Amino acid sequence: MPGADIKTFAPQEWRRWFAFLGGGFAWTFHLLSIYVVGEFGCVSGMDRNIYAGISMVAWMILILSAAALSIAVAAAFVGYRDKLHDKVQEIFSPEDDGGRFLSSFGFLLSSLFVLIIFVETLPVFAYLDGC
Amino acid sequence: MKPDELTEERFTQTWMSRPGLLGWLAEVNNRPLGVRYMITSLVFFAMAVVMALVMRTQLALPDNNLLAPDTYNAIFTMHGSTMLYLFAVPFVEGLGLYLIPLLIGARDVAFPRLTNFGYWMYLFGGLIFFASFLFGTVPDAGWTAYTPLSGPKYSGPGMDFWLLGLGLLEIAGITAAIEIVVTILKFRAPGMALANLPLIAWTYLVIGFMILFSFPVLLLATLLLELDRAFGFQFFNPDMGGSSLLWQHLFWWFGHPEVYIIFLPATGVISTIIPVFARRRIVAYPLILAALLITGFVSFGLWTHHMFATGLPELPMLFFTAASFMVALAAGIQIFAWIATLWGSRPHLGVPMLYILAFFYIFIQGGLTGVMVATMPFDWQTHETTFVVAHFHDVLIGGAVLPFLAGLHYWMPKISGRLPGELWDRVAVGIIFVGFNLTFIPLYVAGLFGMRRRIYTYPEDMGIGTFNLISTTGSYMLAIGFAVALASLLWSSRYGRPAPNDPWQGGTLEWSLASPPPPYGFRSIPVVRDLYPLWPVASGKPSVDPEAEDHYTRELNRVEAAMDCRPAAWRGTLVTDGINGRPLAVQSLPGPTLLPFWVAVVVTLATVFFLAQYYQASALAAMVALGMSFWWISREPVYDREEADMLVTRLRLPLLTTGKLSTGWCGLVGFLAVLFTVLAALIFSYFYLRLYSQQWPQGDIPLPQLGSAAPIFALLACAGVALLFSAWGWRHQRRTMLRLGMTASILLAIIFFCAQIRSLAAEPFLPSTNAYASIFLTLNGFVLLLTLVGVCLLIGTLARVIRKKDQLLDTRLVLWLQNSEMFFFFSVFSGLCGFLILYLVPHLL
Repeated sequence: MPGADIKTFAPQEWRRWFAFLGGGFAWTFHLLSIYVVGEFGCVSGMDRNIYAGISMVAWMILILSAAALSIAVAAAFVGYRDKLHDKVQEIFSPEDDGGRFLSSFGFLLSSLFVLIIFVETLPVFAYLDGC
Repeated sequence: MKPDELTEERFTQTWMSRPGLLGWLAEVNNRPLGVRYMITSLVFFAMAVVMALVMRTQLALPDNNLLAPDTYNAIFTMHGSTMLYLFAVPFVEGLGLYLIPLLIGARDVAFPRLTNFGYWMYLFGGLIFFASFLFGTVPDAGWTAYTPLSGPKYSGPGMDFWLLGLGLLEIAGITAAIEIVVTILKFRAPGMALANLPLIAWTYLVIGFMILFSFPVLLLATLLLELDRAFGFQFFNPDMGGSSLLWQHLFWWFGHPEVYIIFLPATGVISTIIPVFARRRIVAYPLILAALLITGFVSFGLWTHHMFATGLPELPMLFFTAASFMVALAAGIQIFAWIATLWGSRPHLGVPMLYILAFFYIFIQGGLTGVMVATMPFDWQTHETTFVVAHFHDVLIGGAVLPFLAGLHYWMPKISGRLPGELWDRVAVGIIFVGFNLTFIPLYVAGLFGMRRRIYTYPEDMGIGTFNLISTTGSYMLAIGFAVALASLLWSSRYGRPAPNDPWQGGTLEWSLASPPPPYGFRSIPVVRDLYPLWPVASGKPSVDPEAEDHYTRELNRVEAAMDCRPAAWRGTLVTDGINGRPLAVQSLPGPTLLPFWVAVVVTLATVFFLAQYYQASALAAMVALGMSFWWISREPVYDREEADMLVTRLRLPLLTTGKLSTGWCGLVGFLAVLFTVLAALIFSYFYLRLYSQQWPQGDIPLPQLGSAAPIFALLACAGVALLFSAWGWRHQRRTMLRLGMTASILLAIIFFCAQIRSLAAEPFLPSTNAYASIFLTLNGFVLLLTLVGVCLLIGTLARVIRKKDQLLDTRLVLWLQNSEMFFFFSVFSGLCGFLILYLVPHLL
């Protein structure tokens, strides 16, 4: 029975932690990597290599941003899915208050990090053809 | 005496501090040490305020010559350094060490001896800082110590006092962070899930992690600068391939998060006080928490916004502008949540609430000007002006000191057992608020008129004399306000009316205890299932399975009953699960001991010998400190076997645990996080120096020899593989495999150590040759040091394995095996990173 599956479903602990911290780690990866590419790429002259009208540095930043956004979106999605599963259950196990909290709060937190990563990527659009 | 009374008396005796001077030195209880931290930091605060007044007096009039330029430089350096390193961060730590166990229902913190050690390191570090006055060589390169001003060419020996004193302070900060993080994750009351963790405890959890990833970078930076100054290394000397900007990068990686490390606990204080005075639960708990975590992460993405005027490429700097805006968003979320909590309530305007209302005005002013200086064009105009001075005083005094004063007033009944006064405290709030704005609003204007900071005077024709005179008048008012507030608190703590348990009708756990709390804190470990355990349970809680609920509640209640006055003969507390607060084990905690104090004394001696340039004596003292540390961690936990057995039976929980469940394992993970941060900062330094060098290796130094280095590092890798076999051996109870693997690992690591030392000694350059040589030898030295410590740990573990030959699953031995393995694997990892970067990368890039 599908209902029984839902009731017995308990998100694994790693999913809870991924939902909770995935967005934050994606942001960390994003900022550090685009800073390194930005500074090292601009200083070393990598930005002079243009592909399809966009500099190599900008391409790398866009790719890294897409990767970071994907991780943050995935974390938010996992949090959302687990939150839904938790909600669908008619009754809760009292022993997993913290786990449920990690998922539902992780959805909120990782969603906010999606927004932050997006905003931090915006400056590159003013520097597509070089530093 | 009845048996119960006997147990209770024995229980109290077990937790009592020892009397006399020796007892004072050996104190390990978190509350006396927390108070000691706070009092010491307030003494330093008073000294820094006096220095501020001296500076403001000098600046009251144009072309004033009350202070010579050099004296002014020394005074502003010591003012800033004292406020940030000796007052703000230690105060935060002291408050945390005092409060956290009370808030989460623990009897003490996770590593009581480390608390004692941390306090002494803090005090001795502060004394070294101020000893520079006695020798007439006060540090004078600013609290940021920018190179090359702080380097050997332009600064006297005062900077050595600054750098080495700061090193000890950083160690104290890191110990407190590990302490706080592990305590919150492992010692929460049964049932206290993360969802029910008070916001102030969350702030401490967040800043604990922030300290672990930021303070080690400053520790490394100060060490590198001291190597430049003492031994002629060239990290920050541009003439020899070094980079002045490298210091700024390392410093601000620490420096910007540090502001939030001070600010976030202040927000925790506000989130605690507002609901109590508004008589309602905090609004938008998840949003405030999200804002906290976002600030914790994003504060690491702001360091370059202090470097907008250094000529870095524009594109990466814009990322930091964007990050700065995002932090403002997080701060805004908190402000609106607090306003929403107050909205519609009829808050009691007690003294703590008045401080918080003052906070709202000043902090918002500081936050808005923060957004202004986060935009590059504006920053270029106001950089190094008093506009920035006014901004960060808004943030640090308005954003942190005022909430801390609110917190001191709020928790004073709990700390001292006396009720704080009202009249003089209200007067103090008024004087502080008016004095603060009189001091700093004119500085915003003077800054826009172009008044430079860190310059001892200004000419009359700049037209900023009036602003400065008003500012100086305000600074005296502000100082009087602080003096009245602290004097009133001091007076009340001695002569105030006795305080009941809960004078504010607070909702958090500390108010369930007597004022002041008994030495053991909680007689039993209370069950906590709500954010405000002392208030009626909130409506809208999720419906739970009644049968499971009954079962779980019974289990928690049984644990609570079993822990009542138990264990009586030794210090014990409950270990719970990090997510749900489910009881896992009983842990024995150490009692008073002089060992941490002596280790701190020996570390300080090593520092003093270094300052005096007795380098061999310093190295010897450092080795002694390392040896004493091994002795420290080797000491067995003290517990009464009979009572332990009884308790284990009643609780149905184990005594001591291993792996992720144990505090020792978690503490080591924290320590490895510190080492990882140091390794990452060293690698960053290597690449940063490489980026700005035309030639790599610099000068006449040849490319490193991959062929001769590879076999040496292969030995280290083999040592790691041998340890893997050993680990397999103990997990499968194969004693021979365990011993052989461990012995092989030790031998291979020792051979690696000797071979690498020999190889480095044969290199045709010295660390002083150029920046490449400095970073090459320093990174190698870091790897060798880790290997040495790893080998010592393995030898200690092997000795235990041989001694306890029939008890391979003894909990304590398993913990030793797990921890020494983890450390050694980390040293192998560092070695391999070092090999790739130092020997392989130069051939590729």
